[in-house]
Order: sequence, then C-alpha cells, then structure tokens
Amino acid sequence: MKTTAVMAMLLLVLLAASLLALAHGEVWLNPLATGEERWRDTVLWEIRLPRVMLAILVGGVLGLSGAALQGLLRNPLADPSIVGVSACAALGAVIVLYSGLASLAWFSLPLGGMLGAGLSVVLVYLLAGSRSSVFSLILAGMAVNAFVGALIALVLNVASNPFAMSEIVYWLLGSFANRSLQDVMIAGPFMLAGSLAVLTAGRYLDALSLGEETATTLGFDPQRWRWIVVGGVAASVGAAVSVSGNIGFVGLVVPHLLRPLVGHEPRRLLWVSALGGAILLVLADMLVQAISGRVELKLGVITALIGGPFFLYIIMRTRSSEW
Amino acid sequence: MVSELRADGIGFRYRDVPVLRDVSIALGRGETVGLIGPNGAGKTTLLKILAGLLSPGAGEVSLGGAPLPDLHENQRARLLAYLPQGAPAHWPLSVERVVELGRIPHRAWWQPLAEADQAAVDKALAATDAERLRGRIVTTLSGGERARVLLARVFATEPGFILADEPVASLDPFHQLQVMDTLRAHACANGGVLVVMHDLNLAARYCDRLVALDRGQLVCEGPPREVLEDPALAAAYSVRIDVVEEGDGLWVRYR
Repeated sequence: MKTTAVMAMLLLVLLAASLLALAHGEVWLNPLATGEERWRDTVLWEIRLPRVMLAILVGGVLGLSGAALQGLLRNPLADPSIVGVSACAALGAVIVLYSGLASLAWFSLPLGGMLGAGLSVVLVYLLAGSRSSVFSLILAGMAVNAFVGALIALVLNVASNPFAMSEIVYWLLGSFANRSLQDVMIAGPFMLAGSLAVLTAGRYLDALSLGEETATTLGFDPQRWRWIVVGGVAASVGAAVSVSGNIGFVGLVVPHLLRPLVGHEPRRLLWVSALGGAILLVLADMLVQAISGRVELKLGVITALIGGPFFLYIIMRTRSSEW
Repeated sequence: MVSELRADGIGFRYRDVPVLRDVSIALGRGETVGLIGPNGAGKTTLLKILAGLLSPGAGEVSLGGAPLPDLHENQRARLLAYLPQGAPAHWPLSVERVVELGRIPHRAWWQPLAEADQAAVDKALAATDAERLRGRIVTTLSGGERARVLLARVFATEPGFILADEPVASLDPFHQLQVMDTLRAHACANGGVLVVMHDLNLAARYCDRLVALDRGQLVCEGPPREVLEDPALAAAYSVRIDVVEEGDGLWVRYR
C-alpha cells in the first residue's frame, strides 16, 4: 500500500477515535453539538479534551520514538526504554515528587522529567563515547537503565511516608487521568520539537540500513545525526513521561504492526508510527476507563500487560524468520 | 572536474599498534588500481581513510586538491563511493529500494525520485547483472547476489571515484569477471577505481596499476607485471610468484 494512503487512513481513524474518546465517559456527550449547560462544556473541554490530547501527543511521541530508535539501532526490538530515556525521565520526576519540589511550582514535574531524559543522553554518551557504535549505545542504555532502576528503588526505599511512596508508585504506573490543559501546554512544545527533530532524520535512518560506514559515505555525519535522533527522542519522551508516567511497549508494538502495511523502510515508518501510536493510546485510554470499576486501572499497567507477551511473540518470530 | 584522489604520508594507529606508516597513494581518472598485500597489511584501513571514514594520525587525504575534511559531506558523497567488505543489509528491503539509496547524495530530502535517479538505478542494476533481482528482498539473497546488489548501489550514485573492498570475494567465477569488467568500465568512462584484491590473477588482468602494502608500509607500486615480479612482493606474501604471459594476458602462479 502507498504510504500516503496508509497515512490518510490512519488520520481518519485517529480523528474518529478522538471524537469517540471525547464522547465516551460516565455520560455520553456529543462533542460536535453545542450545548447549553455549563457542566457539559467543562466536562468536554476541560476534563476530556486534555486527556485525549495527551493520549494523542504521548502516543505519537512513543510510536515515533520507537520507530526512530529501531531504525537507529537497526533492531526491531528497540524502544525508548532501551537507551534509558524512559527510566531517567521517570527518575527525574520521582525525585521532584519525593523532594516536595512538585508542590513548589506547577512546572517542576515536567521539568524534572525532561532534565532526567536529558541526563540519560549525556550518561549514555559518556559511557558509550561520542564515536560509539550502535552496539555500545545499547550496552550503555542497559547500564543506565539498571542504575536508574536502582536509584528509583532507593528513592522508594527511603520515602518518608507510605503516602509519598504510594503517590510515586501510582505515578510511575502511567496514566492520563486528572491531567489539565496546563499539562498539555507545558509538555506539548517539547514533545513537538523533539518529534520534529526525529522526523528530519528519515533519510539517515534509511541509509543506515546498509550500515554505519555506508551511511557515512552517503553523506551523513554520523555523530551529528545520532545526536539529532537521540536528542529528539530524549526531549520528546522526557516530556511525555513527565506528564503521563511510564507507558511502555507502545514504541515497540506500533512499528511492528505497521510494517506489513508500509514496508520496512525506516523513513516510511516514522510518520505512520506516530499516528499509530496516537491511535493506540487514545483507544487504550478509552478501554481503561470503560473496564475500570471503583479503582481506575492505570494505562501503563494495561499496555504492559498487552505489550509484555507481544514482546515475547516478536522475539520468537524474530528468531525463526527473516531478521 | 575533480581529477584526483590522493593521500600523502598517511600514518595511522589503532591504540598503540601502528597500522599504516607514511603511505602515499594517488588515484586518477580513467585508471583501475589494485590494492594488494597479505592479510593485516592495512589495506582496508587505508581504504577507509581514503573514504573519509577514519581520520589519519598523520598525513592528508585530498580530493581534487582540497583536503577531504573541508569538503561538504554531500559533495564528497557524490564524488567518492565506498563499498565496504561484507556490508550488512539490516532490513528486509527490496533490491530496488536498496539501490535507490545510492541516489541520496543527489537529492534533497523533500525531493522524490526523479527520472534521472530512476535511470541511474536502472543502469546500475543492468551493469551488475542484478535486474532480475529487482523485486527480491535483499535479506533473502545469496551472498554473491547481495554483493552485486550492494555494488549496484555504489554505481547508482554515479561517483567519480569508487573505493571497493574485496568486491569479488564471495562471487562465482562468472560474476567475478563480470564485476571486474563493470568496475573497469567505470574507469574507462573516466572514473577512478581503487579495489582491494586477494586474487593476483584478477589483479594482473584488470588493473592498470598495482599498489602493494605490507605491515602498514608501501612495498612497491607500478604496472602489474613490474609489481608482481618484484621480489619484495613475494617476500611480503612469503611465497614464490611466477608471472607468465600467455594468450591474452598475465597469469600468476604462486607456491
């Protein structure tokens, strides 16, 4: 299928899913009709809209980052969590929560997430070296992940009271509940800017399919382009994690589902993965709300429950077939 | 037109191990030069330095008089193509898409494949006898088929100079000759070809000039016969080399 046709189709699906998500809730509301009651507007545009917007933005960022990192690392199992970005962003946000800085200013939580993500990039580069091969980048990401995981555990371990601890844990699980337009406004620009940077790297990722040396001799400065991709992923995922918590596996699953439609060229996968990720999270968030009882299920829990087995499935397929 | 790729006084070390010492080499338009020497002589390292993939510890590489690092990446990519040894293909892309990657230096990112690009791709596929592979998936090809497809990618760039690292290593006899013919044709069309080879017979038959390296140093260079008969070359390979002229060319026997 032509990539443009797939994109048009995905856009339509995203539009439909978003309208459905706006309409769906405790009470069904028609987002296209103008209503008279004030509560109706409040529910639609101040409660549901930010949630849907965040689902679109975060889903788009995660889908795009997954596709970009898979292209960069030339590995269909890559995901933002692999280079340590997600974990570091989570650590940044957890520190802000734990230290009480979160109550200091409304922007401190997103800022913490982005600082964490930025730190992960610096760490990975210090570990892997600036002229690193992709392999050492993966190893550095693993090391960062392990260490940051330990730091998060440490923060939880020394948390002053059970309440702070449960708040941190709940937040780590990942959710779009109770987010406001302000969250969208703070994190949105970083998600968009980072994503734009990643989207410019499509041709470099295509060239990389013949290896780093060939890509370099085709006219790409490998250091600069690696920075653009990893930096873009860090900014966008850092901002995303800081508003939504950890929502895993989207970046892994989405490109995999879309390859049969657009082929394996990394550049073609970027835009469609962004759209696919957005659709997936809008629908998943709706599902979470629909099946939740008194205790709302966290979106990150659902994506992990579905994504974990899917991850195993891909590994088994990868071992037996074309890769 | 950029007339020459040259390297002067190249020195290179991996950590503390000297790999190249004071090597100078020039590649002009219209010539096919064979880079020969025993394993570990530094041939691949020299080729990577010429391609701009490694920066030399000493000496300078220049393209048409301008130092290689001063050239814009895109400009360099259009003039100088490099075929690594056993290059990977990481995704199951169609052969046509792989060859199209060779056109990247010729178009900006927003430009679709133009007619000239398509023509270059077709020509490259024809030159490497890879036309019938066009629709195949590159990861399912045999080693020799893939080698030809990757060579087609190099030709699709329509570069001035081609640096090829053992392009015939995994090919059957027919395709060895065919690939060497194609590289030679590129030189005859006023391009420059520098090719790393292990088969001295092919080197003798197809190259205008041979450059021999041993343990990081230039051993000898010149017309094939002269180089092959040089006792220094035999010493470098630790074998006896006999060159006989028979029929249409030189034949090399070593024992």
